[in-house]
Amino acid sequence: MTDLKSIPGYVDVWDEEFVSELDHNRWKLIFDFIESVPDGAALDIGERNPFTEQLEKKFNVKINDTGLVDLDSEKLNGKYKTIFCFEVLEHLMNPLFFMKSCHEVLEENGSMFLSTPLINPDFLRDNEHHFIEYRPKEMKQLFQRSGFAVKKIRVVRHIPKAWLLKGIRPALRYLFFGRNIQVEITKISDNIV
Amino acid sequence: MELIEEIISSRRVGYRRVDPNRGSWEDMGIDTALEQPSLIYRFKKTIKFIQKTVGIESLKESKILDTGEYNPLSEWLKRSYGIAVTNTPPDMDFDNLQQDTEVLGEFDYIFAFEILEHLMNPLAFVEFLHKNLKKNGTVFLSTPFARPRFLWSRYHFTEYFPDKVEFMANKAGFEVVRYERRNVYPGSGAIYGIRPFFRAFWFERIMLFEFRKQ
Repeated sequence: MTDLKSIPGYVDVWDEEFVSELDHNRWKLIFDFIESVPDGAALDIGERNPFTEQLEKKFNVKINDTGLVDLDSEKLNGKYKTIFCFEVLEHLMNPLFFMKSCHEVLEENGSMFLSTPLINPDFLRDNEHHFIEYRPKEMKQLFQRSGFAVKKIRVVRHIPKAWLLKGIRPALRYLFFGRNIQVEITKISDNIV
Repeated sequence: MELIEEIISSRRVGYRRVDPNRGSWEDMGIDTALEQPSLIYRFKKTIKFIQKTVGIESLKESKILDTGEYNPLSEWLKRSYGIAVTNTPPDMDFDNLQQDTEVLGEFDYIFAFEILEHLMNPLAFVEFLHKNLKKNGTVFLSTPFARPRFLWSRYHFTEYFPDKVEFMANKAGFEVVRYERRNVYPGSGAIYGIRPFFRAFWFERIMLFEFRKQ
C-alpha cells in the first residue's frame, strides 16, 4: 500500500489559544438560532470550551460536558433536558450510534441543538479531520432513524465577507459552499428503527 | 417520516433497499437481475480482482460470508463457479460491535460489495467484518469512489475516498494489502442521458480493497 495518503485521524481537539474569526461568526449565528433553553440539566458534547461558558452565561444554565471520549463507541451517561452538539457530527464514523446514544440520555420533550458544516466539494474541504460532511437530506434521515424529529433547520453562511479577497478557494467557499447547517431536534419516539 | 415508513413497510431496516419500485432482490427476482448486462459486467470485474489472490478452486472449498441478504452476486457465483456463500440479514447498521452483533462464524473470506456507502455506522460494520474473519483471513470490499453529489444514488448515505476506507480498516485491525480503482459502468450506458454519460466516462469508478486480518 503506497498509493494511499496517510491521515491523522478524525478527532479534532479544541485549541484554547486560538479562537478564529470563523469560530466567532459561527457562535454568533448559533446564539441567534437558539431561542431559549429550558430549565434542567444540559450537556455539551465534546470538551468544555469558551463557547460552553458563553452559552451558560447567555441562557443562565449549568452545562456538563462529555470531555474527550470516543463518541463512536462509548455511550453517554446521565439524563438531560438539553443537549448541545456543535461541530461534532462531521468527525464521527458511527453517527447513528452516537445519535441513538443522545436519544437515550435526552429527557422526553427535551431538545438537542446541533450544527455541522454543509458538505463541501473535496477540493474546498479545509479540515482533514472531517469524516462525513452532510446535506440536510442525509441529516434528516439520520435523525429520523435515531428517533428524532426536526423542529427547526436552517443553512447559514458563516464565512466572513473578507474571504472574497483571500484567494480563489476562500472566495468560492464564501460565495457557494461555506455554509453551516443548524438544527433543533426533539425526541419523538422510544421505538427506534 | 415518509422514508422511515417506507423502510418499515419494506421489511428492510437499513438505508438500502428502500426503493418501493424495486423492493428487495427477492421481490425483484434474482433471475431478472442476472439478465442485466451491466450487473454481469460488474461481477466479472469483481471476480477478476478476487482471483488475483485466490483461485476459484480454493474458493469452492472455503467458508465464505457474503454480507447482505442473498443477492444476484451470491447466485451468480453459485451458478457460474459452484461457489457457495453464507449471507447475513440485510441491515448492516450495527450499533455497537461488542454489544449488539451476533458472531456468525469464522470465515476464510468475507465479501462486502457495495454496502459501505449505505451505512450510517460504517466503522461498526468494518469491525463486524474483522470479528467474523479467521486469523489471516481476507476481506474483499468494494464501494464507489466518491463522485460529485449530483451523481449519487439516492440510497447512498455517503461516498468515500480511499483514505477513509483505509483508515476504518486499520482502526478495525486490518492491514490493507491491495487497492484498485476500476470502471464498472459499460460505456454503452452513456447514450441514456447526461448523468449516465458522466458516469460512463468520468465518475463511475469503484474502489476494490483487499483487507487481511493480522
